[in-house]
Amino acid sequence: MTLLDIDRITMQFGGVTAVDEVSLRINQGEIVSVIGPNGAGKTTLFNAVTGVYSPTNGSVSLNGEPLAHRPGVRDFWYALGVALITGIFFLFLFHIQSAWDQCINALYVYEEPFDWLLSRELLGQYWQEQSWLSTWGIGLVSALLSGAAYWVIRTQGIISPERIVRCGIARTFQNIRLFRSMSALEVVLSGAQLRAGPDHRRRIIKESLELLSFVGLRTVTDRGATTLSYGDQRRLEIARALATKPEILLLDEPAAGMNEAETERLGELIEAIRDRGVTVVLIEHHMNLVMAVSDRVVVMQNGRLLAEGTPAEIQQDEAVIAAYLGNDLDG
Amino acid sequence: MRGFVKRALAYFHQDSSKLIPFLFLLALVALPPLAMVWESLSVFVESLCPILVFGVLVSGLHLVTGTTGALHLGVAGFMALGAYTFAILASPVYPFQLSWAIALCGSAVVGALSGLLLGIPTLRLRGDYFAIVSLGFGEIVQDALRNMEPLTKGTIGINPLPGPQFLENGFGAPLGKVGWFYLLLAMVWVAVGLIVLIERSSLGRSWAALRDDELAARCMGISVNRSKVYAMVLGSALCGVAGGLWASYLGATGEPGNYDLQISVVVLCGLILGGIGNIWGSILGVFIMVGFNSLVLTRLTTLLTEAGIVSSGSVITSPMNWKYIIFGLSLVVLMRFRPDGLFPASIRRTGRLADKLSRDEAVS
Repeated sequence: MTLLDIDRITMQFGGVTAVDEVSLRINQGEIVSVIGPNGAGKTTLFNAVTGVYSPTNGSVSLNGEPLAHRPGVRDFWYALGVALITGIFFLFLFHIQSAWDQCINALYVYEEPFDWLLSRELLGQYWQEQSWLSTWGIGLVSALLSGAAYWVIRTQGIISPERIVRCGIARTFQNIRLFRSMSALEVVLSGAQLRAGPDHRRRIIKESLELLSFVGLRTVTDRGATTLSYGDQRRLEIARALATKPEILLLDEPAAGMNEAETERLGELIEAIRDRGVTVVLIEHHMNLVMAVSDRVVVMQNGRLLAEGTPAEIQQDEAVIAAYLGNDLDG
Repeated sequence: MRGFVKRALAYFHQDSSKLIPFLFLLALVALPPLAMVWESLSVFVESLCPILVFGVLVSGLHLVTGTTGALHLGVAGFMALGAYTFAILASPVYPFQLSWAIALCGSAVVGALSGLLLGIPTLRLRGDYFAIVSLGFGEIVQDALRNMEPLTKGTIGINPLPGPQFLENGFGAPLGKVGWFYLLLAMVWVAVGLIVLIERSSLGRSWAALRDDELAARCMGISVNRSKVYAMVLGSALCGVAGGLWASYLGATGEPGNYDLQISVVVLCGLILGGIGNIWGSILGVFIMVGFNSLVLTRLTTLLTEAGIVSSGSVITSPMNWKYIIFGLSLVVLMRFRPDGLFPASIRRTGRLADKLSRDEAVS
């Protein structure tokens, strides 16, 4: 069953095409590796999928649902609210001074009782004396302009990281991006709070503690996140991403900077994540890890898909060997 | 009660950057009784009142600059809006004449609304750009208040303003300086308590995440827009309250030009001096910053003049005129040796509930 469907996604920066019409289908429960030389567009593909960049072209869907934001009733109400507030604000801005002068200052004598009814009448009079344009005109024009602007911005089909992680795609980063002012547990909680209302403190703490044991960081829950060792920081990032309860987890070079033993343990962790029911896509350069854990391997080069298949097939693939080792070595 | 004490102990445990300012704020409670015993202390009760208002103001600034990291240079603008709202609602020169507490709530509401108005268009601005916009906002507010003469009485300012009714004794006379001192101190405690509670919640965690790494926070589903607008609205509301308190304490709003950039900068310096991101440190930072100005230097000047070391007429030798030199020098020294401020924020920990849950798990 197809979980994530990447359909002819293109990512251009100025004249450079970093990802060129890449289509990829990830099935439920798979571990898929994306490999390729540096600059092949792997991380850009991840960024386009997770909403960090908005793709120039193409679409991504999860469980058959496109990820781009589609305008709904809620956007309409928000636009209406924005229009109303702006309209009132501008009316207020234009009229407060003279209305105040005629209704309050003209009527009030220091420490004498104030006639509110008369002041309301005066306000009505003031309102009628003004020209139609300076009362309803200003209100309507400013409300229409702001409401329309809000509507246009909201309905452009924005893809934002917030929305995509809510849909169930979580990720880690190539260069570690942990929150340096937090303890390890707090970092995981910052991911876990997405799926909990404000009063579920106890539950999300429990879940986060469980996740920390899962990635093997249970003994350092109270240590500052950035004081952990490099390998631990990578695992903490994985725990944080898992805390958002994703259906699919994108790992961007999780083994970078790890030694052999750590890489092996990471491989076991990735398989354990898959066994929890989370589909894993990883970008990786450690071929031992890739060949050991992947169900499928996707090779990218120059922004295009070069080959796709099981690890064994990829190892035999002429085009892949050429891309990695160069043609001239054969001859 | 025991649970509360235990939680409080856990909160301050081994964290001197929270504990020291906390003890300082606690010690202030004992100041007026002590002043009755030692007459020489009574001058502090009076001169600490304006600084306590700055304490409320810095807690408002902390919610914007300390939590989300956006450099905010316009707190004086929100303070002015709060002060004028309070004045219009409570002063006998206008027909509303609402009670003190309700007028103060009005200040908070107007502060929050203007925070919303400034917050939404500036959501995408980072760093210096936000600083420039907020600086401009502060200036615009001054000019607008000066020119909306029918409402604000222009450069005259609105007076008289009432103090809180419950501070008046049976004869209708104000309770005086000690009453004001305790009222303002209580406001500081309320503001700090509010902030501590919010920071412990998931909203506070979102703020910390955004300040540390915006992209990573967004990829964890933390809504940048919502968190930033909340910070801006809550912070501006507190600044508005500070403005209302200020006007009420002085009995007049004063000229709009009083709410100028200097206030914003002094408060910001206090925040940085105390430690960005640590509300306790920021409060103490403002006390040091403003107190140094209005307490230490004034006392020093009188002492030196009385001792005959300097003459009061001399421009150069009077300590009052050294303040900017000492300011500047101490800030440079501070930034060199303690770039995180005197009381740097400690890392965020989850606290006792996590310890308890983790112990339960170990047992089972």
